[in-house]
Amino acid sequence: MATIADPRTLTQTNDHASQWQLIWSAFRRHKLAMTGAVIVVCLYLVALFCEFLAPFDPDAPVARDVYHPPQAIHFLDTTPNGGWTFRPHVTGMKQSRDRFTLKTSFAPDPDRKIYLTLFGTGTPYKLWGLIPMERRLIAAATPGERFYFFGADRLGRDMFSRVIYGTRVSMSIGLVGVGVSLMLGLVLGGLSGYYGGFIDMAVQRVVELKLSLPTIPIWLGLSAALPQDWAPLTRYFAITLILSFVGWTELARVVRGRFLALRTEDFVTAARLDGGSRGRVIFRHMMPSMASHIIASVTLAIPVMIIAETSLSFLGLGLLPPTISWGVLLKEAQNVRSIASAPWLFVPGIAVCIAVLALNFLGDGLRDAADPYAQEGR
Amino acid sequence: MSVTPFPSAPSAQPVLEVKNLVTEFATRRGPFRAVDDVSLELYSGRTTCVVGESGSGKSVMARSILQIVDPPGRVLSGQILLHKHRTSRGRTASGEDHTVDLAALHPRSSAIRSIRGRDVAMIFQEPMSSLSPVHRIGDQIGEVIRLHENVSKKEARHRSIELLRRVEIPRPEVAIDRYPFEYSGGMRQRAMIAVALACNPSVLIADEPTTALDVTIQAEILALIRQLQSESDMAVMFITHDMGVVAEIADDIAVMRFGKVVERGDAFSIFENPQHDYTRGLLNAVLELDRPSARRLAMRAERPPAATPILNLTSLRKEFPFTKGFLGLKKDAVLAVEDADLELRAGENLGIVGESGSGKTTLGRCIQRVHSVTGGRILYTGRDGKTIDLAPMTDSQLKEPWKDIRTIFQDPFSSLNPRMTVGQIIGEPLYVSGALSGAKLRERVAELLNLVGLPASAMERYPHAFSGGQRQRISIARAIAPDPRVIIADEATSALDVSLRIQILDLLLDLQERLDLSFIFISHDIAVIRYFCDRIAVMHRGRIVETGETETVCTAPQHPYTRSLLSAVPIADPRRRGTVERIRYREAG
Repeated sequence: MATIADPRTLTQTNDHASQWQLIWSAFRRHKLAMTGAVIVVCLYLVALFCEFLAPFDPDAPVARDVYHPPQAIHFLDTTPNGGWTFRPHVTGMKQSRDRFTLKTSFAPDPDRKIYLTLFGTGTPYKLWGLIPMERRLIAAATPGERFYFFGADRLGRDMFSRVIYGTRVSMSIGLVGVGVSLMLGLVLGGLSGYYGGFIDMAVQRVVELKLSLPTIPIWLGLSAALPQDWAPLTRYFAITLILSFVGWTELARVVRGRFLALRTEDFVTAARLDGGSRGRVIFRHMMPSMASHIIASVTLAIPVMIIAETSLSFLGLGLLPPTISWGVLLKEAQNVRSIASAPWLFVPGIAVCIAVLALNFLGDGLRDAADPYAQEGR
Repeated sequence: MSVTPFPSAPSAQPVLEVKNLVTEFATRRGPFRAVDDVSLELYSGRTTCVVGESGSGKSVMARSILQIVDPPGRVLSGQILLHKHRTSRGRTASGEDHTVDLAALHPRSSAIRSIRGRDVAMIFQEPMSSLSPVHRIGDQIGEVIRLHENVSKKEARHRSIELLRRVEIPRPEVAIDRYPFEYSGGMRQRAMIAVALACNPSVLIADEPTTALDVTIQAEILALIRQLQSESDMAVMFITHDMGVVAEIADDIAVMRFGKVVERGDAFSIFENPQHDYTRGLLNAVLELDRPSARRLAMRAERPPAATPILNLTSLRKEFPFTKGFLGLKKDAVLAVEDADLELRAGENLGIVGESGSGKTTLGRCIQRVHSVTGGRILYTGRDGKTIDLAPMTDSQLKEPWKDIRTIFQDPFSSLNPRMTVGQIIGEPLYVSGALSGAKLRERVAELLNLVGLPASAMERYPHAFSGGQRQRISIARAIAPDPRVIIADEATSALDVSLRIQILDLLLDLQERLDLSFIFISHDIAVIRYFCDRIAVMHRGRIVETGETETVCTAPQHPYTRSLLSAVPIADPRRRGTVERIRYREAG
């Protein structure tokens, strides 16, 4: 035929793009998800370097700064000759006590300025509990002076430092918890989807039973059963296990669904006929098709974990002080007094909101981008 | 069928005029013109066939007329003039003109909604997805009537029954209360036609209405459309890729390619005196397909197939068990293949033909042993002359036979793993068996790519960079990689355009000559089988009803079902329209 295209001519667009490159190019077009991704990366960086980023030791109480209000940061300062200079500082606060009610109140003291420096020396600490350091990202120019971006709590501890430390526990409990759920979900869902039959039936009935039990009482029951005298680290892992014990069911269903859909694809049959062993068919041919979907589900599962940890700790049944997590911090904001006199105690709540929203946007974007081939067919 | 092939001479004035229509899709790489400056006219009482291969823009053009192009597509310019005064309904007493430009109407305006379904109706390809599964057939027809005409529910129901009777659905007063899933594929398409005809449209647009149907049902639907048209003065636009269907039904033909109409004319002049190269190529491909390949006949004359069978099936039986009742305690089974006896001789091409649900694919998969077998034997004679029975073997025992018997799948899109490079896909069987690796494997893959007519540079690319025909070549390269002896091609050309079909079939013949292969070719398309296969087995409801030399079976079919099947195949010659008598097959009992 005269007009047939030569089979040797190939199209030139996106030829060598692999699955991940296609996913990335689809994901990049999702602006909200990109924003979410940036925020999530920032949060995990904060969690990783919290000792360096926090200006003070989160557990150091200062009696005279109880319920110290937040101070705004100023970047410009007046020089003695009347000009302006770039010199970040906060305005000091003057404490006064009402003579009759004995209520302390803070008022700005324009004469006292606390100057800030980057990479200044602060109280010594150990990064990751290993490397002794004393440089901090932000420190007072005069050692020993204190400043409070997010205010101070009832013992005069710096909320800003505490929220930063809380990021580490709260964000990591999501990650570790989902990691454990993923293991359970992948193994059980995979078995269920690939073999079908009796195994499938058994696993699915367990999942259904699990889903029929109300979540909060289970959490409460399990965490109330934990001995109160456990070390903070032990307790942390126990809580993680409890959370993932509840969380694996959803992931198991996702994995099973993908397996069932893939099992009937011609390319999986072809892989079997090519003589591949069962393991090779699953891990070399089926898993890569599921990986992107699983990553998306995992990203959407992390915020659930974070919320769960926060709720449990808020109720006093999850992590306990001296562990610092956003939920533990929010526990301080349980009474009416804090709403009236120290609204800054709710800052950890804002942190939870930001983290959960960012992770949800990221997960949504990943889910949309997860199957670049389906979008091409549209 | 006593319908005269050409009911009326073209009335001078068209009902619907498409003038310089341009439809664009916004893509990342800039706008893509799916319909590029198309002009067409539809006349009352005449059928205009729009022919083109996939991607020629014929469906988008049809959807542009009703302004139902999916975003990001939109009608950019041009006119779609509906001359209402030239239809029997719109003719006014005073005889004044009443013309609407559909392209000027907003896609979501009530003005266009009142035209959709009333003046211009549309039938889609897939009858299952174009009917709502949760509404009764009667409600779906009644809704169209009640949307456009102010009638009572009772009246609408009455008219729905009439419509179902018109489209020849048996017992319409009962059938009206059924759901689409209770209808067969052909009945669903009839119901869809009833929906389209509900308001007596002056223009009917049928977008590949018979492509998803079996050939015998296609023949009935075509007869129905022709008959309905002769009863009214409806103008029909019939979109198809099948030249046989065109010859069967067209009065006028427009050939589309790359969004442009390359040739227009009446059916006889296009078929007998095509002007454009593309039309000529398209017709040649169709004509060539309908007869045995000269290449194959020459090959067989030079080296006749051995008399000894390489594969021998004796009373092969496949049941699909299923459970029902509480907790699946009751067991039952569907019989998919019933006692099939078949032999494949070394060096020949055996065709298995049948309609959907006839069990031909299941039979193919049983021979390949993708499915387990319920009963019977599959005797395979290996290179060493030893005969083994594949039927009772396990997956691990089958590893060796699987190297000799390979499958080419139907869908070139789902049969290639999108996440592996072409080199990995083709090399997989060699790599897994440990035969080759590293540079030697690459060398072999390049050689295989060369055999199927692709450049070695294709190795590094992913399947999504290839067109359907190229993908099928990759699939073939994978099949021949372990140097097999038997290849089972399951509808290997069905997803391809007609011009590509011949290319692929010739490639398979070429490989047969070079690599000494035997083929089992499963297809629903008699033309393809006739071109490619030496012998043919006709399947119907899980049974092989007839086996024989292809030419013998095609010219002098013995079994009544084969006769019915052959009589339903459209002939790509408008002069012979209506000369073949349709034979309907009814099973005894």
